[in-house]
Amino acid sequence: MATEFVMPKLGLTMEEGTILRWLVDEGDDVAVGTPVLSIETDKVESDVESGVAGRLHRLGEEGQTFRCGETIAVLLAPGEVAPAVAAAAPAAVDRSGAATLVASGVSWPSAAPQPTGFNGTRQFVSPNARRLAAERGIDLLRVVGTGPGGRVVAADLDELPVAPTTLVAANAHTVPVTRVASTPPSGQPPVPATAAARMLADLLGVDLAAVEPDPVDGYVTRESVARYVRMRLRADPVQPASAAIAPSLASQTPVRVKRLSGMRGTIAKRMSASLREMAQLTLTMDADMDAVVADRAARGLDGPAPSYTDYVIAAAARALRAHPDLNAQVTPDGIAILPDVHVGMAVAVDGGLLVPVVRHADTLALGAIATTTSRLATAARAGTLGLDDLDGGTFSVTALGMFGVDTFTPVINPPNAAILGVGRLRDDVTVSDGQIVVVKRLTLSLTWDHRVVDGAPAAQFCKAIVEALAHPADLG
Amino acid sequence: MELTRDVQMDLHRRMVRIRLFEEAAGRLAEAAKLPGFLHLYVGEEAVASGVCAALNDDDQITSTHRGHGHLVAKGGDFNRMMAELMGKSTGYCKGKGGSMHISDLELGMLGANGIVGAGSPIAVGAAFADKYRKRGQVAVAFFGDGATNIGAFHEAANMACALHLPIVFACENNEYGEFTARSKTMAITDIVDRAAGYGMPGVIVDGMDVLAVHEAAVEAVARARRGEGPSLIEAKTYRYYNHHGVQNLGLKYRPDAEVEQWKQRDPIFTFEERLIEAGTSTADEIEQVWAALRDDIAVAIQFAEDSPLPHVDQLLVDVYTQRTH
Amino acid sequence: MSERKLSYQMAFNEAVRQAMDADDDVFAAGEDIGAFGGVFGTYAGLQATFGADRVVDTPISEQAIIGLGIGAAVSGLRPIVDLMFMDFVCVALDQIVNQAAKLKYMFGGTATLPLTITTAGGAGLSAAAQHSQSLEALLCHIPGLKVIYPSNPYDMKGLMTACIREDNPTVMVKHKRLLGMTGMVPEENYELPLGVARTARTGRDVTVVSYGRMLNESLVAAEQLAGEGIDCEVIDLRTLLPLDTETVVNSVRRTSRAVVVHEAVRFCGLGAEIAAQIQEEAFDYLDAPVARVGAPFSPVPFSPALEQHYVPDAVSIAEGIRGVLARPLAGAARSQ
Repeated sequence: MATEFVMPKLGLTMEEGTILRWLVDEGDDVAVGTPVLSIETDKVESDVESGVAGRLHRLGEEGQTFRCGETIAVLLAPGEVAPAVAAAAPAAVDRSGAATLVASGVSWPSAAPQPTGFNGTRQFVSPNARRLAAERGIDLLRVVGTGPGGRVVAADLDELPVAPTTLVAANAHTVPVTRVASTPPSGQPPVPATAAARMLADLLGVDLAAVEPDPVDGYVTRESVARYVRMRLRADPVQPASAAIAPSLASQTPVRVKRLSGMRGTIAKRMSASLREMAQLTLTMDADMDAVVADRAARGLDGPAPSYTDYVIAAAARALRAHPDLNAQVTPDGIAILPDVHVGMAVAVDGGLLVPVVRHADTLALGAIATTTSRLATAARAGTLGLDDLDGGTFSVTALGMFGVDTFTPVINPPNAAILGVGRLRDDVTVSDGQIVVVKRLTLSLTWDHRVVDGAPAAQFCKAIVEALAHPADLG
Repeated sequence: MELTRDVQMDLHRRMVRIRLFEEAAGRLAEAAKLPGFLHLYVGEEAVASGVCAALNDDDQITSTHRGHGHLVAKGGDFNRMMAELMGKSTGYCKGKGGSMHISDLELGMLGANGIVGAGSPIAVGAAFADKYRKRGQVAVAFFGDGATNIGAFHEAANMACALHLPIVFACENNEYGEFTARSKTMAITDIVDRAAGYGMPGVIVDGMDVLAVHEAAVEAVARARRGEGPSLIEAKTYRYYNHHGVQNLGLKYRPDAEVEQWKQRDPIFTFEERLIEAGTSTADEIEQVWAALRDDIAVAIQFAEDSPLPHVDQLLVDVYTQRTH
Repeated sequence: MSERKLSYQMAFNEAVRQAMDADDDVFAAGEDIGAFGGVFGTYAGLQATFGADRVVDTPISEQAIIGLGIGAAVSGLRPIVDLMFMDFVCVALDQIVNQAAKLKYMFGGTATLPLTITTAGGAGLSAAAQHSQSLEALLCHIPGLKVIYPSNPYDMKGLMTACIREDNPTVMVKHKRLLGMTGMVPEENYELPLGVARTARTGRDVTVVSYGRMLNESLVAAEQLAGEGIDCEVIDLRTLLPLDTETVVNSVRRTSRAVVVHEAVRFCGLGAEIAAQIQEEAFDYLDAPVARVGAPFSPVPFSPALEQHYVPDAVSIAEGIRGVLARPLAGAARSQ
């Protein structure tokens, strides 16, 4: 039976050998102990003896290199024929089994790649001070370090004017931040932010927790860090910037906590931003609605009648055409007067509020407005509004009259310049020609941005709406 | 010394077991199937066999880097030995020791040792425990000619004599310390000359003659058991193969003629001739011994190859003993 | 439970005596420990009680002494073997590192070595370079060993008792200059757990980690600093291997500053491992880098004039502690 002749392993560190020359000719007999070939490994030459007898059938050639254990020849028994194809026999032992050294109980923290390449001077802050500053919402830029090399240490934070204890509002998103070994000490999740935002914040000593994140995904971006810094620079440097008063701990154990995320969060952010950024105030004006009531009754005979809100939308749209200064928005360049009138209509939905838009409301007849608002309201409640339906409004109308409200102070829907609140349709008493007359009335509450127009034009605009409502037939 | 047939056949069997195991290990190593170092005992079988046959299971031995022979002679299990050489979890040391640290504490084999001479102090400790316990056990330290030059050996030999311990120092003088001839590393020719320096008797025996080795061992062990203290046996022997592995890689440091000369006095074949000549055994019986043991070797190789490698979660196990008291 | 004043040296002695009383398998061997009672008097009176077969005088053969312990331990006895000076660990390093520490592992768990190696380390007695070293860092680097270093008599008795009962090779280091230190030590036999540190002094401002004689110096430094308004927490490691990292890290998380103090050479001393672990586990709590107070990078000098600058003391320790609290720029004008 044929025996494989392998490249032998002649030393602990030998991994391969090169055939220098065969010492036995092809087909010749080999006895036990006969030197069969001469090999070279690690610059050392050595003869290799055979451990068995047989007829040599060479497979490897002079000059070829083989790994230890690979077949280089076959020793045939008497009568056997050489196999046609050389059988490759790599070393059987799998040594890779024990290669992975990550054993249980051994911790191998991986070093996270740290941002590098800052230009300019760095503020040196001890890890402890950094952690405490984040917890307390302290802007490290304001802290002068007294440690070696100007390092900010915890004691430097203690000596600042006392800041109100804040709780960083819980974030809905948790970001998989790679850190070396230690977990965030206070148990707060790290602020979700882009890498670029972190680098810029680190360079400027900005606390990411104080920066308003992008409302769409909740991440602090480089732009939001920049915006925050610009805001701070514009603000009085002596006074602390009027940052939002962060929510404090509940005064009792809450029955339930609703997170400020999703639609609720968006509304919260937009409404407070609106009030912060604009100079809003509200005027109220009563509108006589007898004509509208009668007009509505008449239309109702032919089919579904427009709602009172539809009348107001129509009236407001026409008023905007006549008073274009209110169909505007404040941009970095200034007050932009917009050509097209798109009136948004506030619709209450489950857990929130949506403001779908009636496009080109000033060109639509009342009937068309009614159809549109009906479709939008249904879609809003069903959650099937498209982006087009929500985009591009230049003015908003919001009604609380069905709840018994007469007047209120609606908040402008950014980036509009004004919003019209619609109160309750009510019976009221007035004096006409010395007689006490019962009329149908509702109160319009107009909130406008004083940066855009002053009180007089706003009042005139509102008056125009009241006038339009007095002549519903002209609403088409 | 008159030995029974059983004792003689036992001596023979021990030697054949060692020869077959070592030859198999050597072939596997050359086929790149055994990781790491391997130091083969081929040629020296008479020493381990002769000495271990004079011992009980609870007598202890310490060994050298060339330790397979000692473990086999003391009754080591082929399967577990082969598995250990292949680094498998079924090996004697669960794959964590390998050839150089192979051991069987139940057989009193306190391990092969990778440090030359380091076994002797440990054997002294075992002998100390034997004397302390007064149960009549003895310890044997195996070591080579090279080891007698290292400090640990001197300390052990001296301490054993100073404390009068039940120990036998068994020197396997194969005339080479690794790749250097013994004659270049010491000024004396016979290791036995050192024994008197420590205050113990010493004898030289022909390490290729298992009966001579056994006779000397029986005497030395009895002496120790009687409480008469240490003694040294210097067995002149020879290893056929390289310091490690089988064939030599690199410069030839031993003349072929020398190797051939020693092979003429092969401990197994010469003993077999004597057995047959004296009518103690027959060629057939001897061949059967070989055949049966060859089968055992094949079974062991298969067992080892089929055995699993240790899992990585065993890496940190057995660094320490957990307290149970 | 009755206590009385006992010296560090006699606390060791009592631990050995009580262990030998309780267990016949316990014996001691070493140079001059039998008839002479040990060069430091730590084995006084034991041979008279237990006989020369159990308290054994050996030749001057450190390798064989450790080998004796190994062979006896693996054969089932419970040896205490003594290396007169810690420096001589180097003479026996093969038996300690390559044999004792590894036998259990190399044999796949079948061997058990309930071996206690004891030795005396430390400087300050003009014993010069080869008789004054603190080499615990070498030993702590070896898996399979345990290393214990008591700082006071009470701990010495409890820890030595634990070492003898421990089924692993343990190295118990005595400090030569603590031998005469006295303290209240219970008469009855007791054990302190290995691998558990003790908070010797609670404090707020900085965590001082130490062991051996330096622990006592650190406490003196802490008293000095208390007068300066610095409140130190001082931790006595007691066991060096395995290290009680948890106690140290919990303390640093509270104080935000750490100083490791040891008599061993600062470079590559145990303080380096402790500092690395502190910064791994408590990075975000550190107000300053972890400081290490240790000996300078040279052999121990002979002349007292030099040795006094070599060995840390309460003064140099206090200075090291002040360093981690330093705010050099405090008091400068601030802009906001």
